[in-house]
Amino acid sequence: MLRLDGLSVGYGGPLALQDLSLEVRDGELVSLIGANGAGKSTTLKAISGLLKPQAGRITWGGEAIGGLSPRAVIARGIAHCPEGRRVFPQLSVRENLEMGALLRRDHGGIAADLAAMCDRFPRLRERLSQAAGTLSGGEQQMLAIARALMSRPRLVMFDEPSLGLAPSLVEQVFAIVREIRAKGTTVLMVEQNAMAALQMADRAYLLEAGQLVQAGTGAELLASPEVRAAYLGG
Amino acid sequence: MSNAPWAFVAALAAVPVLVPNPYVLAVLTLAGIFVIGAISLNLLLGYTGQLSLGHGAFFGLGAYASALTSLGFDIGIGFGLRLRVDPQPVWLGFLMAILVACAFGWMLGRLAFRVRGAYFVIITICFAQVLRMVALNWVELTQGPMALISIPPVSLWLPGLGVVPLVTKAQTYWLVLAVGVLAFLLVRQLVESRIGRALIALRSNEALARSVGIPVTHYLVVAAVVSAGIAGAAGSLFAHYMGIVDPDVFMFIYTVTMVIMVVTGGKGTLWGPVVGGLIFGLIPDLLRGRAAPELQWVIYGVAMILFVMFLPRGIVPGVQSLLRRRA
Repeated sequence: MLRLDGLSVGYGGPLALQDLSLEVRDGELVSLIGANGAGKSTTLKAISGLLKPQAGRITWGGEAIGGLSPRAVIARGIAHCPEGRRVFPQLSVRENLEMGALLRRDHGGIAADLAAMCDRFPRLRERLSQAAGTLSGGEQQMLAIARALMSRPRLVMFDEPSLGLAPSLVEQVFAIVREIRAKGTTVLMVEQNAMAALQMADRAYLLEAGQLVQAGTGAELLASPEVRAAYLGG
Repeated sequence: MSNAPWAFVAALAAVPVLVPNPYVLAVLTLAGIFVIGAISLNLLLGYTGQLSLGHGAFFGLGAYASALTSLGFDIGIGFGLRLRVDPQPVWLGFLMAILVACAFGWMLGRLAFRVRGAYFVIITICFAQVLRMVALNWVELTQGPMALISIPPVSLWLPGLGVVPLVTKAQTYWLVLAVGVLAFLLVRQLVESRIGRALIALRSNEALARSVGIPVTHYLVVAAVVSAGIAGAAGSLFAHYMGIVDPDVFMFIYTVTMVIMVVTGGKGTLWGPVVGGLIFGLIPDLLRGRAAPELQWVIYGVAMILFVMFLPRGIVPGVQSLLRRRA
């Protein structure tokens, strides 16, 4: 349902992403792996509309969405959970969650989803009126995930969901990602932890220096000698 | 806490009765006009995080628009055509000041918010300087350096009295106070709305704000228009209070003064520009006659540095966190 055909994206200098083609089918969990600067985050930003493609097509359910505004992309059911600072620190936890539902107008549905998020992440319920900047790193990541789900996406894109988290939390975050997919939401995930990313993924793509070098099922990439040598420590 | 702001307003409103000293009222009135300017700048600088160093331009535009509407003008606009406006009532000038400032705020916002950071700052500075040049050189309209003079005072329709010009210091003071309260309430309303949350969100993380679907440029332009409109209203009050407007209203120092007020008071807080505006609006007059002229600005500068050093987030947030630690 999501297809990239010959996608090239740049930041004004050399291309950060060159001629990338990939697809994410309904209900799949697809991982993008690769080293720093391989173009993984750039791919997600191009899909979500934060970056304009210089060449190539992005289609979603048959509709070309390359170059649309982020707002228009979310309205079509694609949520992006960016890397780095993941929440709005000065806004309360509740306001952060409501930001995820910015484009929805079904107030009853929003309230129900907010309650559901609090059931799923009890830590958030305890801190609903607290500024999000006061949460721990793990709690902020839970909040970011919950916020992305608040738009009721059909596809969620996670950018480095485990980055900077303690090992016990990493396991928890991956469990949540698996759970989201099990509930029927399609997932496209960028992850440096190649081992975990490949074990979870139905299919995966390996990027290097802005180009696609290998594609296959998670198991195939796990077994590939190149992947093992470069990313899994032999 | 909820009654404290109204007690503060009531206390300010009582000043002309308790201290019927024209000098005191004149000083407070002028400080009040700058507080309104600071409130408007805070909406941009404090809540969107965009530093506009051309903000004084909206103040100046308001002053000129209001003065010209109430004085009338007759200018050639090319092709042998003339544009003539007869002197209009002052309230219409006040409205024109807001409208013209809003229109320019929209234009500047649409242009300048394509860029961020230093580029945005430079565009806003240029904007103010271009307007200063226009005011200096379009003599037929603005009288250039000869200034617009004999600007009538604000007149107000009051029940039972009809239209009365506000000529006494106390009347002007109350008018400025009323406009100030309205400006404060307008900004509060905006900041506590959806738009305000969106502004705070984009200030802290613009990429994330865009990725959740906030139309960032749209909201920035909205903030710029409202901010410009309030600054225009302040400029109009300034023109009718002083009775004279010259191109110096576009000078950089006015913008810088407003920035100082917002930053020392606490940018991004509702009360910051009020507190900072009152302190730095009153310091020059409090020092006058008490310290040598050369020393006055030294004290002003030292006070500013001390505030920034010891209360880096501003007076209001600093005092708030002190009180919280006590409690």
